[in-house]
Amino acid sequence: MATKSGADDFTFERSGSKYNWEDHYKPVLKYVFLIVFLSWILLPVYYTGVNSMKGPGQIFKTAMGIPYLTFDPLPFGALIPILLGEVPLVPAGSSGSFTGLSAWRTMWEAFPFVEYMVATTVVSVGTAGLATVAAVFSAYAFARLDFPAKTPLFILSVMGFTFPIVLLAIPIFVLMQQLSLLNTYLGMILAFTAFTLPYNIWLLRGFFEDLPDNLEESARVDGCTQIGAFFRVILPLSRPAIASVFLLAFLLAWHNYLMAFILGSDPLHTTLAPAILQLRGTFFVKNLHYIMAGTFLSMFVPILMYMYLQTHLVEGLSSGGGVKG
Amino acid sequence: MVDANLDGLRKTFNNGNVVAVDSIDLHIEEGEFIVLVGPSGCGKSTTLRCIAGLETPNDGKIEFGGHDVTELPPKDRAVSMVFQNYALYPSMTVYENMEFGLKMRGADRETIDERVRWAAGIMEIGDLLDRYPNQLSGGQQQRVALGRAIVREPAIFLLDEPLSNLDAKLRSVMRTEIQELQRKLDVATVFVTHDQEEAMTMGDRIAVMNAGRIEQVDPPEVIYHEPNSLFVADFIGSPEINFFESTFDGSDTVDTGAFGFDVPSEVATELSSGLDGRDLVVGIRPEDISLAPLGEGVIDTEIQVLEPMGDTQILYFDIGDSRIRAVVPSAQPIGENDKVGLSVNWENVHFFRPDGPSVVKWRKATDEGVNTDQELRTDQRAGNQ
Amino acid sequence: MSAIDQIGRRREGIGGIVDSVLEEYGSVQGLLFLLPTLVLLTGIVFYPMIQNGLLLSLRDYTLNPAAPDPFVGLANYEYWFFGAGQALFLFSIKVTILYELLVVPFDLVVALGAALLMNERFQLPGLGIETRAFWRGLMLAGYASPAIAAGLTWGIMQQAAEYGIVYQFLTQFFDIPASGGIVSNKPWAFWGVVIAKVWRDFGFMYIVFLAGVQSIPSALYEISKVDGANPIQRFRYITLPHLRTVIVTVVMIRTVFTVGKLAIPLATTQGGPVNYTRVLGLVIYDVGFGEWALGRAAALGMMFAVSIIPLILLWVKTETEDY
Repeated sequence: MATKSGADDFTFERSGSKYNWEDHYKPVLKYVFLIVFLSWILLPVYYTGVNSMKGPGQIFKTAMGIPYLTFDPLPFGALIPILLGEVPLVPAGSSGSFTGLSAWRTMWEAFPFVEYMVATTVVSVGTAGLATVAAVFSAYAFARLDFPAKTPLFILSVMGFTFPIVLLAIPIFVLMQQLSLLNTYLGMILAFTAFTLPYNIWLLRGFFEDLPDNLEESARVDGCTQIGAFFRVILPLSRPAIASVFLLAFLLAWHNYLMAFILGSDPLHTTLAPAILQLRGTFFVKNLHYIMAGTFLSMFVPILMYMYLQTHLVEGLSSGGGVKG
Repeated sequence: MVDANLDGLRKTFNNGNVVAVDSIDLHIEEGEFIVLVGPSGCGKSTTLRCIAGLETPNDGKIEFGGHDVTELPPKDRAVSMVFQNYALYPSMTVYENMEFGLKMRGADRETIDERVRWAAGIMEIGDLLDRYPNQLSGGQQQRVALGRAIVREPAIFLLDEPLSNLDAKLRSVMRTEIQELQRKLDVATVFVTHDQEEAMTMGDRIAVMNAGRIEQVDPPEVIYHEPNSLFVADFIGSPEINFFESTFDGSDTVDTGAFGFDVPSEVATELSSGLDGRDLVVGIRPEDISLAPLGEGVIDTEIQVLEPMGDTQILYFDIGDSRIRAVVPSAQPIGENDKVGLSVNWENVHFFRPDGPSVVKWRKATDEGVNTDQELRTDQRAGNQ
Repeated sequence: MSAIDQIGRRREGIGGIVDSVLEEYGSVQGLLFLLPTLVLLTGIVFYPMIQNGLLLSLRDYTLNPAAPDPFVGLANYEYWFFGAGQALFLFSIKVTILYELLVVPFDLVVALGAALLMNERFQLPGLGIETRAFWRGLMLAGYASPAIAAGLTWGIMQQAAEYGIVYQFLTQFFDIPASGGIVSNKPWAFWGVVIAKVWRDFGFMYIVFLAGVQSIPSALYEISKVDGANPIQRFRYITLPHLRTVIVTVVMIRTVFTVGKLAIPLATTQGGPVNYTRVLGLVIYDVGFGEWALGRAAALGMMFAVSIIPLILLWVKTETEDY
């Protein structure tokens, strides 16, 4: 402070306007932005959700309206068949747009939605299992072990996942045709592994690389071989990461349209994504509520999974996912 | 009881481009506590990892109790090790962490339980056995890591900077605990640290490492009082030793540039035979510089900075181009910018060759105590007051 | 068991032999770990890519699996370069590039905005309950949805009908023809696809940016406040530089991943009007699995693959730089 003669050299006054922009507008603005953002993001979910519970005529009238029902007085017991979708349209003695879950029920029963769900689940679980097991080993090898041609092998292994699936589709279709694996779960699982396995390797390698080296070293001093250290120490502590990667592969398989479409020409041996697109051809315009129900159901499961996953995802994709910086 | 012997140990990385450890010979006695100390990158951790078997040396031999273990993997070496970040297995409880090494070696349930409880008792972590590592404080993790290491009755006990993640107070507590533990176990122990104070207080012997080589292996007092190189003198001791680049006239006078002094004939003889030319480095520890009335010391100068340390104070002077440190009792009433004279406790002065090795220590040449009363002629240079 | 006895003690029997082989030949275990992956990828990617991708592009595919596919040389490539497919080929390249140039930047801006917004606190007034985690999850609704479902829903909402609510909303500001709505009119169809695509895809960038924004030390913002920076300056001088490498990486990833994707255009506009939103991936799909001209489709795929390999290698290189 030797160069300053004293407090007179400073001005202790508020610069700029009296009101601080941040303190006054930010709390309001951030809620405004939140509402705008969420209304865009939730629009398709809301739209399909509410319209799947309306009759087709109602969708044409008020697509955005919440389905409602007025009672004149309706016995309480009558609500249950409505909710279960057993009454197809607005029941007698009441008025409104609510048709309960009848569209869902029709989906479930008439359109073989159950079969699609089963197929999708089997294929997604199978794919995720195969891709995760194989990836755990190779990702660990890429992260921690030494062997010849490591970098070229890594590039080859992960390239499959950056490669557009449409480019893999033709070769894999022909392969599965030659192997007579079209319209089989096994064929679809193998095909889906082509792009989920590289993704899992990529994510898990990042995770393993971030683990401290000392853990394996400590285990080796404690009496393990390198492989023993992997099984006894690294695998148990990687359980959360492996679970995340499994779920991500599950969702990739659940979401995929192209592979499922070309490999499952038989409608009962394909997954939800192609089935949803079929809805357009089968029901269009007249039965919009069926399309809404099917679409909503196909979005519902993965959205719930993502909401559950999101904290893991932020960590997994940023630290483990190789997106460094 | 096992001893360990390193013979011509050499370890390189990057296809020999980086030499981490360069032909080290070291014998660790049964039950001895040896500290490897040196600046970061000096090869001390690599040496330890070679002993553990985590690195395989390119050259040389490692023997435990007469067995050649150079090529053995870590699991076959019966060593135990404590890592800097503890490396506790996050997915296991404290108990599981501690029993792991025993389980791997096929011990039976009863032995395991007995040993774990014994080690937990020693480390006073008996009440933590069911916790997971992330539920423990840093000090507790440290204790678990130590407990895990002693559970197995190791042949050699290895510690890689185990205290550097602890705060200052806990560090000094754990320092004494590790010493006591080592004495109790009576196992040959290698402790790696970059902290010279830790090394000085803990080791039976200290191996000072620099650039992949061991500069000196000796008990702490020898390392401090008789450093055999410039590096060791510089690395050990706080505040650091003062160095003066000087010349020796060949007969009896050493000239530091700022001041000159005569040396007794015994020292002169040693200097004449030990030096290649006339250049040498004089080392004076800060404790061996004291204040004198103006004009009565070797030099008069001005106190630049004064750091009170409680019972002592550290004074900083600028003499020539170098900053000189002195430690004096805090009772002396002085302040910054005061002019003072400095006198030197001559028998503790070290002489080094400019390329590093120690030539002689004054007292060693003249035999202890002989020269304490000797009259010393000092000539003070004008302009360098 | 005294310490000295343990030195050099190895496992007995087969296990000990296996151990010593693995310790001796360290690289064996690496390749062993890699084996399942290599077998799988060779079987379902490398082999078919060469056998059925490269070689098929030189053949005329016949639907009958028993009949051999006749070898036609470069005729399939000629078809796209000089033959009847040339116009569609050139046009869809244009569409694909334009699609990338619109989707990726929009993705970036939306995702960055969402990440910044979701880094704020959203405490319920009076109750003190932090609701941020819930909103953060909801932001992923688009990314969680199957692309086909997303495209289908947006396509329906963009139709010129009472239920086409997006059309109803936008038609108040823009002059969109009532016959066909957004999805069947130029240039609206393109924007219709872009909106659906960004809605579906921005979640990936959002997750990465959110992690990036969270990793910025709050002390940096505090010191910049002390230094007198306003919110815009703080974004410009702290947030953006901090996210720079992440942004570059993510833009590259998205560029690579968006090219060749076809579900959204397929479900939203089916490539129409005419070929207006027919990206290359969709052309391959149509030619291959619509017309069953798999030879031609494979030829187009091969050209596509060759042209994006530099892009992929660039991405892999940045990913493996510190490797």
